[in-house]
Amino acid sequence: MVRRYIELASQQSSPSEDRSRVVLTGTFCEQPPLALLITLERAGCWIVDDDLLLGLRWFRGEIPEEGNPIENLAQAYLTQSAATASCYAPDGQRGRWLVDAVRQNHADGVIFCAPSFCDPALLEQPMMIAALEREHIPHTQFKYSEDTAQFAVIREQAGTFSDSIRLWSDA
Amino acid sequence: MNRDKLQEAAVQKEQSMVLQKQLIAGYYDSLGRAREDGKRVVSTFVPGNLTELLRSFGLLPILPEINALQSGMRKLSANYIAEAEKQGHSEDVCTYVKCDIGMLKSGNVGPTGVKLPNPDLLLLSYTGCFTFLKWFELLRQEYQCPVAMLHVPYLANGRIEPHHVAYVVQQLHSEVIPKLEQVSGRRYGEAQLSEMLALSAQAEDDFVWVLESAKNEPSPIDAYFGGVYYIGPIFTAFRGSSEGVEYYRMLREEIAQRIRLGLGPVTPEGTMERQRYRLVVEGPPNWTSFREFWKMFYDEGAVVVASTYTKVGGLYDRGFRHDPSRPLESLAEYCLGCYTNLSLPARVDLLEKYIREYRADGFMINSVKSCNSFSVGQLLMLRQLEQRTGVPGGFIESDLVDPRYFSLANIKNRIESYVQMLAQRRAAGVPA
Repeated sequence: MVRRYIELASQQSSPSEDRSRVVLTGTFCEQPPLALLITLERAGCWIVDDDLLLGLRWFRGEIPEEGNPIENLAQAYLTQSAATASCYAPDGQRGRWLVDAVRQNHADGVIFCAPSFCDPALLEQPMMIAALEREHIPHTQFKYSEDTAQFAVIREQAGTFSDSIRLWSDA
Repeated sequence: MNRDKLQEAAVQKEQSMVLQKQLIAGYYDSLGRAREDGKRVVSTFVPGNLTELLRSFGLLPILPEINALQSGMRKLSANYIAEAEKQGHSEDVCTYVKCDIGMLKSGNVGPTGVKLPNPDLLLLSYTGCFTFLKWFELLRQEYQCPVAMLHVPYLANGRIEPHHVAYVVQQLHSEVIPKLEQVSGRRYGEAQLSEMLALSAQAEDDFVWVLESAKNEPSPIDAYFGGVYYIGPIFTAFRGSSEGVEYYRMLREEIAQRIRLGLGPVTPEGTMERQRYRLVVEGPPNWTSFREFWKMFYDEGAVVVASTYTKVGGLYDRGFRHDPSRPLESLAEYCLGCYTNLSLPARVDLLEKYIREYRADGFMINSVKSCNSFSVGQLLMLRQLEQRTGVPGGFIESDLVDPRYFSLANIKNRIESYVQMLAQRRAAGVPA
């Protein structure tokens, strides 16, 4: 069904919209409210990559079907999983992941959007921001509360970020 | 000898306080001299610390949480936190981390004014606090030194299983000891480690005796505010040392004397004579207004007879002792059993035991804003404890080392209201 969707989506012709392509990061642990994602898109940001759904990032390749399945799963988890905020990822791994995500998805910038009081996501932000700044990649950051549906301030900030990219970015 | 003279004599005998301060100051001095003394240093955390193992290699531990809380007590933490926030750290995250990062960025001068050496190794013993992982990612970026990772399984079922111990011991053999050998240039010596563990167990016996002295009425100690001084040597660099043994021997003798004289704990306001309420406290204290916080309890005649914070560096009062005959297994069990590594049900069980064993009139939870490991689930714990024991709980909110989150008037108001409620219950004949 997904393959069919991709096929049909690529055939759809629609005028290109004047939006900024962004990578969304920091919301890894639980799916944020859908309204938050809609808010970002309405504010003029196309989310072209994200770190939502942590479980999807544990295994980035095929796991061998031969041999001990538990060992294979453990091996895949240890050697094939993405550097996420839930892992100890030293030496700039997380920053490199983010820069790569921007390059591979032709993104214009990065939105850090972590739940408030989320130590793992918030503590690594300064390191990731430093990696982006070395590459001159625009970014903005804000926090959201997991059980609220009030995103007016976020919409304003994301909209300003998107506008600033479209108006003043080199891209 | 009249009571006043007895009391004066007892206060004069509080030599353990002087010794404790000397030990901690001496520890910081030794860190300051580490380079000229040719000593290597290892940065590590209090819960699940491997002090004896480090010392057996001639290594000195640096404990970032201790630096942070000492900075908090000395009113240095606000500027360090501001510095970390200037570097981009969120106002929401652990203030120990921000205090540590801010101190580092401000020249890495420790709380006693001595410049701290850069660590030669980061030993990440991960016991129940997820923040430790990211904290050491940040430190690794700053210091560029090797990291030894010790993963301690979380005790989801509330008890230590043999496979937990085997898993930790295996990591000690394959990960930790080789890196300590590399950094120190020494071979692992089990005999020396065992000798140190025997000293640890000796100090732990006296430490537990001190904690359990609060079962007396009046209690000769305050097991929270006073308790944080008592845990100082055993949670920092003095486990497995003759200095540590001497401190706890001296402390025990002093408290035995207080029991004989029927005296209460020594507080900054003097000996506490009026003990109206016996409380159990859950959660770390606030360090930036520590004395004011303690005085709020003192003024209400509330003495703390047991606390969970004094168990973050080991649950000795539940029977654990370092065992020289099984050195690495014993260190593994120590790491696994720290309070921060316990599940919520296990924490509730422990608090319930404290309330009953120490005949508490109530319990108080100090929920600190920036410590998710401690604070998550505390309201649920409060409800369960009230249901199980019938003893009323109080709930206050503050922070570890960020003075912006210590609202003196609000906290005082809550403590006074809580104590008034205890008084009304007592007047109405409601059993504790």
